[in-house]
Amino acid sequence: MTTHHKEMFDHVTKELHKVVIGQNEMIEEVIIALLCNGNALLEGYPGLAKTLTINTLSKVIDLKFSRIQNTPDLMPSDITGTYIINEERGKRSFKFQPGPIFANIVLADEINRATPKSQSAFLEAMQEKQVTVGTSTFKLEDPFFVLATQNPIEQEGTYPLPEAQADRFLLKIKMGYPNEDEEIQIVKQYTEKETVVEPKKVMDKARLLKLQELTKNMPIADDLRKAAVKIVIATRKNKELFMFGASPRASMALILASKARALIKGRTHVSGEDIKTMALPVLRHRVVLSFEAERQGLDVDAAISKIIK
Amino acid sequence: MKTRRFVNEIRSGIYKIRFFNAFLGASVIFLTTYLILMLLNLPTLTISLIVASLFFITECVILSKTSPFLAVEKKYNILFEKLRTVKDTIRMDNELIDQLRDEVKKNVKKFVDIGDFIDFRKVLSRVLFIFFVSFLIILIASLNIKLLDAEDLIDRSQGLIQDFSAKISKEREKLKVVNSQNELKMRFKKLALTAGVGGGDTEGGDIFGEIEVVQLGNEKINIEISPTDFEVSVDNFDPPERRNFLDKPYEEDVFSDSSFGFEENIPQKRQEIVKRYFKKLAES
Repeated sequence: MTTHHKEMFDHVTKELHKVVIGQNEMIEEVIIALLCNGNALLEGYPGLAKTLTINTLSKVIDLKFSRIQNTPDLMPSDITGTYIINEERGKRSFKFQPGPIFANIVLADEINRATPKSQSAFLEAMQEKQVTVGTSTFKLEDPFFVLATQNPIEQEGTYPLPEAQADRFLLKIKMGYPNEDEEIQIVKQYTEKETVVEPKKVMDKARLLKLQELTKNMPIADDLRKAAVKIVIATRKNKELFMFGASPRASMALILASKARALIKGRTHVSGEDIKTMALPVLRHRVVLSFEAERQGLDVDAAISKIIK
Repeated sequence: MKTRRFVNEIRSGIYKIRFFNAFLGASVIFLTTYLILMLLNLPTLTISLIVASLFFITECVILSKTSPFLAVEKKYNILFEKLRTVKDTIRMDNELIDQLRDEVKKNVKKFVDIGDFIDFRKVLSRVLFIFFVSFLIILIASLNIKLLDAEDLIDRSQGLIQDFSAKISKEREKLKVVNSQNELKMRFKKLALTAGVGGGDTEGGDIFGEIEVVQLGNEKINIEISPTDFEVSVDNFDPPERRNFLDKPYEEDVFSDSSFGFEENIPQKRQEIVKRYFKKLAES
């Protein structure tokens, strides 16, 4: 059975790689976030195929996709939807017009450009899987996945996500530039009309929901669970490296993400390697470095790696 | 249920081997301690039993803290992290766990051999050592061989310590006497000063006379208090002298020069007189 799952994920990855060249780690982590029924924060420079990846993923898994470009003038109703006057057979009534958030996969581009009020509309949807407009609450369809992006440069005119809200994202995925060979391949593919390929549908919604259920069922040994919790607790106790550590939500996220990774790799158990690998994307947006760590020139990933050792 | 039995079998198998090794180790310790104590002429059984028991208990406590499943996983890489996951999820049931259990059971049946956990070399060397030391103990006991009489050494050192402490207390007593004498001296001097008389400092003396006369000092009266009533100290003794037995039971200058034999020569008449006398005595 696990072999079959692994094969399926391999197919998904293969179809994605038809359109997106390289970015293996990013693709794997996005799929992990999807399996955990969580949301991901993607940080990368412009032009690294963030939108393309998510758009392709929605085609491969046959999910409804929508993109929201965040700007400072974006209103919450632009995200959630609003009531409009509807005239039918001479009668006027209010009808709810759903916003772009009513999709299975939502790409919130440059979330740090939206105002805090607009950001909170996203956050309610992410956490509660529902949207409140006026006095009415509308449930969002399962599966619901938000991929928010952030630009690490251009901090002018932005509203950085507070730590309490960043904590709601399961993973923070860092995207880097492709290497030379990958870039040559990208250039070749997208500057020659013949090489553009359309990805095939490999999975459907029902199967994805089942895989999400299976992820929770992935068995984990007690000592590995303990090790995961110890890593998170260490971020709170180590005052030399961290001013603020991660919350218990991080412990849950780490274990869930490790289970998802084990499923993708075709295993029937969680291994220590899964926990060590997932610790970075799970913790990097949930901790604040201490002055001492910054003075030493450590970045968040280096500080977390020290704790894992 | 089958999984629980299978997990319990692995656990009990590993624990049995561990306890057997601990028992062998304790036996080695017991016999070695026994041998050493025997050679030193010290009490053997109690001390050896205590040392061996302590070792056994310590080993058991240490071994019980290390998971038997980890030991199996370390030996067989194919079971790494899987066996303990099966053990920890024994109460859960879902398709992934079932698959994991089947996989682990298959691998355990295929690869795991309980004999792999017995270090035969170590066990054999310990058993041989036990045999050898047992034989040595029997031999030494029968020949009554002793390397060092530790009991005697301990007794002697105790005696030396007692001697030393007696000497110290003797010196302390002496010091006490001297101090009390000095104190008395000081008191008399004070008294003399307060009474307006000189402590030997004024001319012509005083009504109390010379202070030195009433002072108990070493010049006038020598008091030596002996701590014991006996002149002979029973603690002071020399070690016994070793004497060699003589080859001959008697001195060399004792010898027989000549021998004589003597026989009674009482006349017959006199014998008859004595006979008649005793006969008359008997008849009367």
